[in-house]
Amino acid sequence: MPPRLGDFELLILQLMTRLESDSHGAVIRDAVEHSVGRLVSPGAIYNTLDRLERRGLVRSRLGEPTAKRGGKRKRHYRLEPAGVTALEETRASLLSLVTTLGALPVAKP
Amino acid sequence: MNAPRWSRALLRRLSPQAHRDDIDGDLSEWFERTAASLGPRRARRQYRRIVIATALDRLKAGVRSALRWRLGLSDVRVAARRLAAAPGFFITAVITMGLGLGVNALLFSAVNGLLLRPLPFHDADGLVWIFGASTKTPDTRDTTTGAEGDLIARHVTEFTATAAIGDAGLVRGVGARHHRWHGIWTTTGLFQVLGIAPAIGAVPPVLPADGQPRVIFISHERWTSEFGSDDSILGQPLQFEDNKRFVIAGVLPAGLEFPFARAPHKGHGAGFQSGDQDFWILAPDRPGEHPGGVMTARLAAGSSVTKATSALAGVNRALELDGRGRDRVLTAVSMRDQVLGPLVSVLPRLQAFALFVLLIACGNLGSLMLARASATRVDSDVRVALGARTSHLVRLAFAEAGIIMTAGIALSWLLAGAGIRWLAWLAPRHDALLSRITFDLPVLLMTGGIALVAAIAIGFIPVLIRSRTSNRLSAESSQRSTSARVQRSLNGLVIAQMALSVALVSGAMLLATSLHRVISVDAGYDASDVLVGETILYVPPREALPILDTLVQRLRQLPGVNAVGFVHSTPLTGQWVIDDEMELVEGDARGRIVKLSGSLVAYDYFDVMRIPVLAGRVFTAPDLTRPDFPIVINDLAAARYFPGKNPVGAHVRMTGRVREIVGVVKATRDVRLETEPQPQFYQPWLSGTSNLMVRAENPKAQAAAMRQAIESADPRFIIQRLYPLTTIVEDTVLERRIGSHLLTVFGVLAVGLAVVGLVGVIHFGAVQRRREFAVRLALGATRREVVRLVVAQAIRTTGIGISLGCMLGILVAGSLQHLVFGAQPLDWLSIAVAAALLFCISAAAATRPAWTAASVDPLAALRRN
Repeated sequence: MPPRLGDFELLILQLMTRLESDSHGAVIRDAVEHSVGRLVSPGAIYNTLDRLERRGLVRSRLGEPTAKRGGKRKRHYRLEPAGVTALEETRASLLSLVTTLGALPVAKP
Repeated sequence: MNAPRWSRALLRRLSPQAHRDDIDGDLSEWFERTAASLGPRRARRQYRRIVIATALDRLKAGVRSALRWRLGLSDVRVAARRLAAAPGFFITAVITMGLGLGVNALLFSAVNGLLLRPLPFHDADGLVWIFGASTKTPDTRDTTTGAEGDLIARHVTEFTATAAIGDAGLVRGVGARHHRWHGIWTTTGLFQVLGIAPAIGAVPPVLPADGQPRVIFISHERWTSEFGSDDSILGQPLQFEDNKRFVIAGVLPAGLEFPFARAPHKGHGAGFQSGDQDFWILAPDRPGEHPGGVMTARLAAGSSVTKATSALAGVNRALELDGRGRDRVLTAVSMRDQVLGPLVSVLPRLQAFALFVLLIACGNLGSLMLARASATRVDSDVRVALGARTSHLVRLAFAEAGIIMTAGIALSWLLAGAGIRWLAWLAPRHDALLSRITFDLPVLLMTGGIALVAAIAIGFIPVLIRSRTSNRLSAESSQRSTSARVQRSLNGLVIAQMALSVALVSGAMLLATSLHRVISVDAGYDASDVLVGETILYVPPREALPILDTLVQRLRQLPGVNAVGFVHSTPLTGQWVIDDEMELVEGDARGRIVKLSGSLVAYDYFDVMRIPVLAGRVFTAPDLTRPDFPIVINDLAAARYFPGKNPVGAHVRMTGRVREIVGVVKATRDVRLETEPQPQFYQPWLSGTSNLMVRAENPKAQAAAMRQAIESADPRFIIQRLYPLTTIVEDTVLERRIGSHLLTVFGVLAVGLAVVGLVGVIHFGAVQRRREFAVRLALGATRREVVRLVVAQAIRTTGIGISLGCMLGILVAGSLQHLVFGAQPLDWLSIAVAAALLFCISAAAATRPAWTAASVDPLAALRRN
């Protein structure tokens, strides 16, 4: 059974499926901000990506240094097949939870 | 276009270390893009928002992780098991912290009880004493004159209320026995000054006219014990043995202690007793009739002791212009400063020195924990390898530190309690003051607070060690680098401990030698084996002499009693000080009048005190009754007023009669041990209030027999107190004794703790270098050489600490300046001896672990590595 994903991890993996296959941190952060509608710190994004990478769900590589980034190299992230599987399984389990909850009668106050 | 510089630098700091460059690069790119589309101002604002969001994220993460580190019962259980497996470490750590916290709890109890807690009067900070003195001796605390008192009471606006007081004694007969009531006379303002009201009764608005019985308030204790708390005694007459008659106007509040703890001044006839008084007699202070005396006052709102002293100077000037007082100076002293005396400055210093001991103890515990963390690294690594998180290890470390601190606090409370009892034992006559030192809630909170801070600081040590190395099973190289770093930290701690120890030991030696100098100063008499009897025989003077003579004969017959004498004022008590004028009637200095202090003695006083007779003779029994009694002078008076001559047989005029000088004795320090002896005369005199002085082989053991002899001599004898003269000598050096004894304890603790720390550090270093020593031994080095290597390293480390300690010692010596007697405050000898002592102890302490290290079997050690 693949490890369960946290809310933020799920969001990032979900967004990465829509982004181009080799997206970097800034692009992912923009997407997350658009999605949640508030500022998100870059540190939070990278920490989550680190966690996902340690679990083998995404993989990172360093690109070439560019002048725009003050000579610093860009880190690209790619969704791994294990990440896709984990995403699908978590989505399925959440949907089933929602379905179960929907079927339960709601107690009226 | 670049991102805002400061925000960018801050963001780098707040970002995860592994992604600083990624984030910086991403945001630089983002900033350029945003500035191009929205303009640089908006881009900068948004950049700053991102920085704020990052900071908030870090804060939330910190709080979350702190909450995750809550100690659970299982952590405490595991920590307890780990500590139980290392009992040596646990006991050393607990004793170390117990001692460090204990001395601080004791000192804080003293500071809290004496300095921070107000005196037991309403708004006690506003209370002052007013003393008068001659401009020639402005430091003496003498009484005010009636004219001064009158002006102060009526014209000085710095005070809202004033009162003049003096001591008084009354003798009350109950059956055949006599009892002495001690109390004060006071003007009516004292109730207002102290902010109290009588328990029952009231201050009459007008005092009775002269010749009428005076108004008296009796103490609550006398009222309950002798009058059965009878309300109807108000307005009743009260008669004493000498036919002095009073009218009871009321009862003083229960538990009132005034003057509190320390009498305002001694000498010149004021034999104030501190604490509860049996009575207050009200004295009139109508304009022009002020009695003068020692004055006390309450400062007006917004006034201060300085302002009051300035106002008092105005009183002096006014009286001088008026021709009613010349060469006088009035001073105001806050009651708190008078009660506490030098303790005001001694205690904060001692508290600082106690903190030194705590720092040493914390350093010691820190080095123990460092060494332990390094030694148990493998255990921690195994735990991590088995899935333990760093937070778990941190919790474990905190649980260990917490257990040690809890046990340390318990030990410290026991030690502080014992210390408080020790202080009370050190100065039994200062019970009123020292009983204020209690072990209460603020002290508990203070110790707990310090221990908590120490536990947090010390709990982080294993974390710091782990955080700098990988979490995987440590490779040998990483372990070695950790050990080197730990060794450096340990050396730093040893240096700090040694420096603090040298400073404390040098300070303790400075005070101890100073105390020794004061106590062993040649006072001119021998206070040992002398019993003082404060007795009163309240009978007409003619009747007193034969009774006292009988008493002397009886006491002389007691086994072990060597000599019996009387003195009007026991040395060093300053109960009475007599100054008299002596006119020289012979020789070149004829007609010269000199003022010198005197002492009234009888029977074998000089034998009792073992005061050497240098020429002539001392008094005999017939001298007591001669109207032209002879006098004895001391050698200082002889040298000053009869230079180059033998004064024996010379005549002087005193109290209107020509007196013969019959003997010369050695000068004595009668007023204070620290004050040089002064020219003095002795006069034969005996009355019912003279103090009995008995030299006996074992005064304490014979006190009961003496008491019986006194009581059987006449039932009217009142025995107030019987005590060894040495207790007075000890009392006069109270602050020096407390300072010296406590600092000696601190010094010994500091050295003990520092040496334990040093031995631990050397041992740790030796264990870490076992492989190196094995190689050296295998290559032909001798054990002696290895020992020398280890000891040399220890000496290098302690040497740095000791050098720093010498510098710190100079500061400590400076802070003790006012407590040092007869020595230069900067006592190089104390510092040098302290440094040498620490050096020798350290070198000796280093030898054992060094020898253990050198005794390693090279093959076994190499195989283990």
